Amino acid sequence: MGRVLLKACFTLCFAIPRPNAIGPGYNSRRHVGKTSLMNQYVNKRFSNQYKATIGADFLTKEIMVDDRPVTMQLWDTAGQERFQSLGVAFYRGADCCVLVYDVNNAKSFEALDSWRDEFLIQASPHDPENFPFVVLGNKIDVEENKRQVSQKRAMAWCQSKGNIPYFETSAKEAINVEQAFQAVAKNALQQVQEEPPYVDYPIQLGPGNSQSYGCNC
Amino acid sequence: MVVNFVPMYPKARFPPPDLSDVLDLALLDETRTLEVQAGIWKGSSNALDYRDASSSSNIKAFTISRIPGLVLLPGFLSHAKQRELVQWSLADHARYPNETNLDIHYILPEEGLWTYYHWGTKQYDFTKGKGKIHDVLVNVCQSAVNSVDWNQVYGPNDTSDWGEAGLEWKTWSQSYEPDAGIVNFYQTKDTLMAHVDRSEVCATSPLVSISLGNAAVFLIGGLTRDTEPVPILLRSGDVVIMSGPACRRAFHGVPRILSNTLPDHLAAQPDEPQWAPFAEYMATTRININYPLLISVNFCCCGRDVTRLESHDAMTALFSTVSSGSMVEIKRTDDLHSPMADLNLEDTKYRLVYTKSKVYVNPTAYARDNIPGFVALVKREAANPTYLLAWIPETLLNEKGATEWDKFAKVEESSSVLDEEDEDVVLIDLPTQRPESYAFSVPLTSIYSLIVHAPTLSSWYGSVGINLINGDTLPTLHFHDDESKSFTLPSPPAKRRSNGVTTYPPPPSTSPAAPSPRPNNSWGGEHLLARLRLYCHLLRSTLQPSLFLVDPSRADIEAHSTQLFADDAVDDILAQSSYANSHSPVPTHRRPRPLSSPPTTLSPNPYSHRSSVLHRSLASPASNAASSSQARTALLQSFSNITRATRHAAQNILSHPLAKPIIPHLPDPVKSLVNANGEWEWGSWVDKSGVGEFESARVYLARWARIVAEEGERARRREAQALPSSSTAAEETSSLGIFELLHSTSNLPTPRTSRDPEHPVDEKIWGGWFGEEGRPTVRFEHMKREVFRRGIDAKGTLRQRVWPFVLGVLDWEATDAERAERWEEKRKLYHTTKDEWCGVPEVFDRADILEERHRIDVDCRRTDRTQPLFATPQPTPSEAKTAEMNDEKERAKRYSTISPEMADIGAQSPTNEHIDRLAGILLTYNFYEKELGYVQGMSDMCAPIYVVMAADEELTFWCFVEFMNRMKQNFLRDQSGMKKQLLTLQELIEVMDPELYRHLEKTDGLNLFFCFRWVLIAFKREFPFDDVLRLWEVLWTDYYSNDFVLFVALAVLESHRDVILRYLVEFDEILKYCNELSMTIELDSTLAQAEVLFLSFAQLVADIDRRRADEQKPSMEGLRRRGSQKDKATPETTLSMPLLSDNLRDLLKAGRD
Repeated sequence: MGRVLLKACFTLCFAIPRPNAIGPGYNSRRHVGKTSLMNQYVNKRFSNQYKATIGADFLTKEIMVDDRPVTMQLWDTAGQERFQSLGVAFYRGADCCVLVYDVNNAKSFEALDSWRDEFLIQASPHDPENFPFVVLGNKIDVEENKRQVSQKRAMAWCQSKGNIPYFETSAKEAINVEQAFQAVAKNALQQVQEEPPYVDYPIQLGPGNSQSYGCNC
Repeated sequence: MVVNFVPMYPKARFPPPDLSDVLDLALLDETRTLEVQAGIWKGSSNALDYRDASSSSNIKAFTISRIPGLVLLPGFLSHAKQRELVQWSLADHARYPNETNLDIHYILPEEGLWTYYHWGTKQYDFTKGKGKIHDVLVNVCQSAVNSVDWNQVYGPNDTSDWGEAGLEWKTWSQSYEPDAGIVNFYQTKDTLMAHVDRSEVCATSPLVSISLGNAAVFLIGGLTRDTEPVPILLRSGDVVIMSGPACRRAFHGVPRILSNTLPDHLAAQPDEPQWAPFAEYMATTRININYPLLISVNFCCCGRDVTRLESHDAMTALFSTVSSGSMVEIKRTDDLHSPMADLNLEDTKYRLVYTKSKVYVNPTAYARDNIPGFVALVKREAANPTYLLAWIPETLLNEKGATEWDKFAKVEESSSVLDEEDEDVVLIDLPTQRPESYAFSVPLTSIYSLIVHAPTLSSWYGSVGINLINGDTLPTLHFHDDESKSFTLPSPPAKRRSNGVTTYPPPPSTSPAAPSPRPNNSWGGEHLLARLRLYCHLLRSTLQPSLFLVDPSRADIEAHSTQLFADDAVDDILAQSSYANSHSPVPTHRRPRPLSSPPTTLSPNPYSHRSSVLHRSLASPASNAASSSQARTALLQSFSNITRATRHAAQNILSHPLAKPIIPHLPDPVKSLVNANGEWEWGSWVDKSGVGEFESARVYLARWARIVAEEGERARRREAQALPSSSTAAEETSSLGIFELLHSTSNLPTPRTSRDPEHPVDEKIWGGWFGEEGRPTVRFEHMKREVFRRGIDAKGTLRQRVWPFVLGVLDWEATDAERAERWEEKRKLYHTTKDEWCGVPEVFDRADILEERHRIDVDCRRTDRTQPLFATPQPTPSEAKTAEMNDEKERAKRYSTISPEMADIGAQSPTNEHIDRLAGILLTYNFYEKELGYVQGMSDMCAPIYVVMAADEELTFWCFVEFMNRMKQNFLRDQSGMKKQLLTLQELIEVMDPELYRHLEKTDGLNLFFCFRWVLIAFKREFPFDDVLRLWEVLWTDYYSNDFVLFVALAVLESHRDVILRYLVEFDEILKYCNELSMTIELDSTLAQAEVLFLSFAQLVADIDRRRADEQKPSMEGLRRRGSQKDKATPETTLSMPLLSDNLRDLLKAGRD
């Protein structure tokens, strides 16, 4: 059985700070970068020392999905919105897009819609209606009383967008990370198999896009 | 036995020359022991028979038995005299302006010469030609001649033919008077080919040749090239006299300048600053002064015969051309042993089988001197037909009239092979020999090898050099494909011969403006090679990829065909996979793509079997019966095969006998592969090297190839250092291997780096640049130049004091008092700006500021945390918190501290006071430069300044402001600055390395996003912290170019271009590869390369401009253009020059106002 290479597009929603979040409430915003999440999944490591991503990079991981060997490319790009024009180059040919928001930041959740649209515009996949997304609500390791987006609310949104799979994760505590990425791989694989063999666009070895927008973390 | 003259001391690296057979008379002189030892190079004092020929006991003069008339006067010049002559040669003799030779090609040291020129790289010979000869020189020459007892030299046994003049040597001591001369400046890599000085009027009187500076090996033979030459080591102060009919007409040359042999007395002395510029220049130079040189008669220089040199202007013109090593390959076709002489020109038919137009011979470095012509394959009809390779200049064809020209044009238009049976026999006359024409025709059997350079960086025309078996080198042919008919015309009908109908003339070209049908990766030289393969065996050397051996001997085949890596091994694997056999979407660029293969219409070359170890080690994967619908899966399968195969290949390669010498130099993890038989070892290496779990096979291979190449290079350098006497030297100090190669295809002299990071600007030097009241004693340019060249000593606090000057925070032209005054203003301005937010709650907590603070805080916490200043976490604030705090104080702290305290920040790394101060500086910058806002990357740029400024807030701020003034464009909201920079870099690659450009084009890599990080933050993430400091101070000087960072980027790409071209065929592979170069790049060699690239680029621009200027002039060469070519001649030549965008021209801007 051949190995399949998947590209996952990875979008971390931009966490907008609340004006009144200073002082005691300030800690409701915390930095959990996409780099941390990806590294937790690929290298089983968490560090608070990852430098701000400049430009773009990707990590790869070999996994089994339904007894098939699969290689996932997880792309990581500069977070600040200023650098988004770079995205086009990396989005193209993505097999799956991962949207990540911070459960402790309502704004980041509210931004999901626009990030989804933005991705579809830039990546312009074959069949936008059925392009696979996965939503991750991250940073669930924070105390319960800091949480601003309930699981129920998030799942409702996901269902309204065509049953997007939803996971709540913690990069720091490695909660649910494995399962979430397994779902990403599964959806991406499905996308690949449903597509007719590429003719003009040669090999899907190319940029596996796991894109991260937004958050300048 | 015939010993060829030239190959005795080849420039090539192997085998390394052993100087034990070189006569080195300095060894006889005890007073020169130091000089000999310091230089490392050492000959032998008894390599040759010689005898004393001095006229007095206190002078050493020897005559060499083998070469009658040759006299050596070792150490003839005193140290003081040597210095005087060096000074004269450089400062007086070569004074600006000296017409054509002082352009971009010839840049001389700024001080001591003329101050208007950029210092540094390259210079050659010039002459006064007229005017009074320096008295000292006349005295030296005369006393040298007088020091010789000519009776000893010639004596009664002399059998030379002195002609009508008789035994004139008897009167030399009275009559000798030098009247004119030539000064040659050699750099350590230059070569003067074997040549003869042809002086018809007076070919016997003594020629005095003075050597200064670095030592050289001098070869002198006999009247023909067949005489074995004698090698003599000439050191500074040595004088050679060539006299008499035998010696003056003997072939001689200088195959090698020995680097690092400048004697101490010419080197820089601390107490003599005025000598320093000379010493600096002489460090890599040998000066050779020859007197007399009779300009009223013909003479030969550098292998080129020049006739009718009657005026000083002509002399000047000549001198502008005869200088560099790149120009010594031209020779007359009626030279001794011309292959033409072997042919009976009478009653012989020559059939033209192949031609290509617009193949140029470049007699000089100047485009205007290039001679266009046809390269042709000619079959000499006979029982045993001979095939000849010929080059005929257009002028010669013109003289023969239209029919002859048309024959050539016609054959060129036909792309098919005209063989014996062909009805379209085209018979031609081979051109008559003409001394100045450079025309040649040689039997293929007389050719030993071809040096083939495809169009590349710094030379957009490919070239083919031809070496004959007898050691001669024919003029290098430059293929101007953009002008050549075979490239500009559409392909002729392919099936012409199948129906036997001649379709001449071919259909007319559609439109001159139509895009050229020039195929990718193909150029004129490759066509020629493809055709040559029909008539001879061409073997591409694996040792030297540009070398093609013609009908090589068995020994040569063995020596040149063992491969470790083949260019196409990976593609081969792909081709073997089942995937390639299905009609699957393998894009063209992924299919096997041999770098240089003949068109498939030609007969297959029986020697083109795969011979690389990698090839052989890769067993053909069993045919996987994958259906075409599973094409993609099959391909991916094949990739995992590659990955596996690579492991085996690596083991096989390392187990190969040829690999043994490099094994000790391999890093341990790689070494473990040797004789490894399991995958575990490989896997462990992969882990250790930080290679991810899966990589595309090519990224894998590429990285491995790089590691091996780098180790090999390091090993080579180590060996060069350890065994200097047996190495070929000259190369070892230079790490510019690739550029040397690149430039050998160019007709421009190779620029050299001026960098000297071993000797940074230190406290003493810096202190010496300031005089009374802190006024500078040297110019701003000088300071910047020195910082560019040498960098700043990392010891102490020197950087902290120098950087503000380099960046422009402090004025150079000012006194200490003035600077202090202006600094006070800046200091105040900083605090005024900071106070806009610091301690002002309504600003501090404003929504937009809050957001900005968050961005800054998050980034500062993860910037350079390994630096001691940023490493220490803040002492636990719990005590302070519990302590009773003054309200006012707490409030102040609350509205000035950007980073919240540790308890509040969860998973982020803890802060400390320096991190907070750094964040404060960045926030203040936000208020100073209101348009920009904080952008990721700024913390990376500010942190090193903060560290160097030893946490001084104000200095850091203002240095950062100046840094940002240079970098601001990168951070604009619309990214226009980055786009422009990457576009400029893209254009630069297109001009400098078209092959790489085309490769990036094919891989969707032209956006150059893999250089994004490099450019955005000036390589901050690519080098270790200390190297970043050294790089930045170089960049900040804006010495050559305000955008020097782009040349650094180009240098990095160029050092990895081979790997990229061979292995990386997808954008993501290149991105991964480039990202992982981080922390592996060697800074100094990269900077040296960047400098050389800049200088090459500047040369190119100058060359293009010169061509343009030439074209503007009314053409005096109308006769050259004929018939159908006439009309479009001008547009064609215009097209041949790359257009330079304003972006590219802006790269030449240096310095800021």
